Amino acid sequence: MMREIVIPGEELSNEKDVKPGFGTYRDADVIRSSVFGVVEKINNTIRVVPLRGKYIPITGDYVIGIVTVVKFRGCFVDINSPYIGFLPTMREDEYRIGDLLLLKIVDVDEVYNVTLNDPKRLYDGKLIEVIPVKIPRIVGKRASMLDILRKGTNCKIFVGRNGRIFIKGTPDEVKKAEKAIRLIEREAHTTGLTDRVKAFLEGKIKESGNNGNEK
Amino acid sequence: MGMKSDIELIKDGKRLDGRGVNDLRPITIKAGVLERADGSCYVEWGGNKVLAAVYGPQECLPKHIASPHRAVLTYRYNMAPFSVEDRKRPGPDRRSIEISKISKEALERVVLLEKFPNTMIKVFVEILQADAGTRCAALTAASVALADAGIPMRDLVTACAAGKIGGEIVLDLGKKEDNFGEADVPVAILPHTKEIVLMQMDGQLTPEEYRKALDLSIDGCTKVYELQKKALRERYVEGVD
Amino acid sequence: MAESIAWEIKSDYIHSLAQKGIRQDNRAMDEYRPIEVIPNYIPRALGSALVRLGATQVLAGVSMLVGQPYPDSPNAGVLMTGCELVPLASPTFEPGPPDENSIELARVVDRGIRESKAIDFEKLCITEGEEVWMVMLDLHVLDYDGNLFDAAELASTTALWNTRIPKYEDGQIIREEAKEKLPISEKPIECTFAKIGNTIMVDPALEEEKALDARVTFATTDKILCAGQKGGSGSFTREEIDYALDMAFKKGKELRKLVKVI
Repeated sequence: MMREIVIPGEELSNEKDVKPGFGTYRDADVIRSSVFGVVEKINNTIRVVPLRGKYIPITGDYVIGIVTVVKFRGCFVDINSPYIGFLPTMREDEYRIGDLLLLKIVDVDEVYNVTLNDPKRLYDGKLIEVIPVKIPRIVGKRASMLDILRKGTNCKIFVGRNGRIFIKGTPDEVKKAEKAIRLIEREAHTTGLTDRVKAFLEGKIKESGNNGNEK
Repeated sequence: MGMKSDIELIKDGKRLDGRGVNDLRPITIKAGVLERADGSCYVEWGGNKVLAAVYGPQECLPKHIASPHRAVLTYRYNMAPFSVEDRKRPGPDRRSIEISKISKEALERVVLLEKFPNTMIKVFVEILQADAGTRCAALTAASVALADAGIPMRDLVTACAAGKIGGEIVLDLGKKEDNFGEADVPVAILPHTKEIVLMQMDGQLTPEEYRKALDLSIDGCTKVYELQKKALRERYVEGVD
Repeated sequence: MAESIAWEIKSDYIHSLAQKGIRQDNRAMDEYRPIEVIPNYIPRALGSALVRLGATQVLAGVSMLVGQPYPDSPNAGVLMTGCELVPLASPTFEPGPPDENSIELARVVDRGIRESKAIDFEKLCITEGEEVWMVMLDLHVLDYDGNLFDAAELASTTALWNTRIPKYEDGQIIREEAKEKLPISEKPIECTFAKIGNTIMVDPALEEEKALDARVTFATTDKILCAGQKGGSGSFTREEIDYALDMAFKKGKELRKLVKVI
């Protein structure tokens, strides 16, 4: 089964008590989709989760960044987004260009100056990048999917909301984790995904056939 | 347009390729065809073969063209040297620059640029094979590619031309019709509001003929829109539970 | 940057005026600014005209060369239209190769002339397949205060109507003996409309052009529409296009009277 996919401009609701959420807009008496994505209705709010798209920073998100410029008062960090993050530092030599960090976004202003904090170095593992909008599916409700991935692969997995995932484990474990994550990325718009991921991790199915693949 | 010829472009309501006056050429649209682009689309429209790619939103370079209020949209319409019978010199010519400008302006109406200040969104369209009506095929492909990239839009943009051949107003001119016909009216609209976001006209029409051509091209757009929708939905095949 | 911010503030004002049905210079929505047309402004050119449309000034000049015809029309002369937005005309114009604005302007003016079939290109054939007259129409924008399209088309039509073909003898162009008139029959005129909010107005001045949501230009002869072009990042309804089309024919008749032939 697949959840309902809509395209920009399509009418989602004409009911008066329904509120437009993310990925939608109000056009006179109707709510229309503004993105190509999957419709979700939570309580009275209708929203559309895009199937693809860039990461746009939001305060409170954890992201995985790469230091690109080191300045006297801090470093500029690539956060896999059109916008660049800034991590204030006390000393100039705290970080070096190329350092991989897990960070928290503590402020985003109206022109998207992004301030980062809470840096934690990531090393000795594999960095992969997925489509950022798939991250909520990879994490799952109350991190349920992530727990399944961690237990099923014995890997340490750090997830950035910006589509970057860092995996630590033995080479085979890392490979298995990556394959499971790619499966979720491909099939994020389908239902019954949890069971398929479990089955994959238990070796019951191979890397998923064409179930809900992006063509 | 308007070249002289003895060819009878339309006879008893049938055109050279057998189409009636209100018929489109065969069109196929496929979304998500390129690996590296953020969004992409391939359109075959009669003999036209058109590939569109979207990158962004991304950091705006050069920085001085950035806007603190909205994303900058760029559009590059480019014809491959082998897309036409006589080799086209590579790179932008005056025609491509004009088409790129008006196509960009058409898309600016739908893309919610204000959501991404200080960034840029780049649209590239390559005409691999040209067979009249390339600007409409290109814009149709570009709008599907933008949606595929997950970029927020008010609506899709759908394009189609109508024109005049052998004294009659017809939909979607083919190559010979374009060369030897009397007028061409390429149009792009937003399918839900029928707003006109691109319109050009060249040739000779009375005001009544122009109105008829405009209405016919809007009808054509509505048909093309159904194919755009189908292409996007088919990008994600139904999963087996 | 500072300039673009100033334009945004001015645009807001133009929009609020338009909502009340007023234009900043108190013109009616269907009223052109004062127009002055001076044919043969550059006597040395084979044809020329200066058009002043409000404070906008566009100079059109015609040169004639002998060249090869296009292979697909071996017995027809050639028209080539170029446009330079010269830096003296506006603080925003830069020297260098033509940008998208000047290319669009030149191509829309060119289509208006060409598609009107005003010029009898077959009469410009010297030897079929070998030598034809090439009409080089060059537009020089001297002062940019909005609506270059209409000023440029009016200047071009006037310049072409006043163009003389030089004598051509033994492979030599003899400019001193330019007596024969260019074979021209129609007077194509372009009319441009700006949409600001929900108001359609003719002949947008610079402030209106900066504020406009969308723009549409129609080139007409007496009864025939020969070119159209929509620009700007807004849109038109079908009804708005209808209105602009009818108005383009009406205003076209008025402007056509200004094409003076000496």
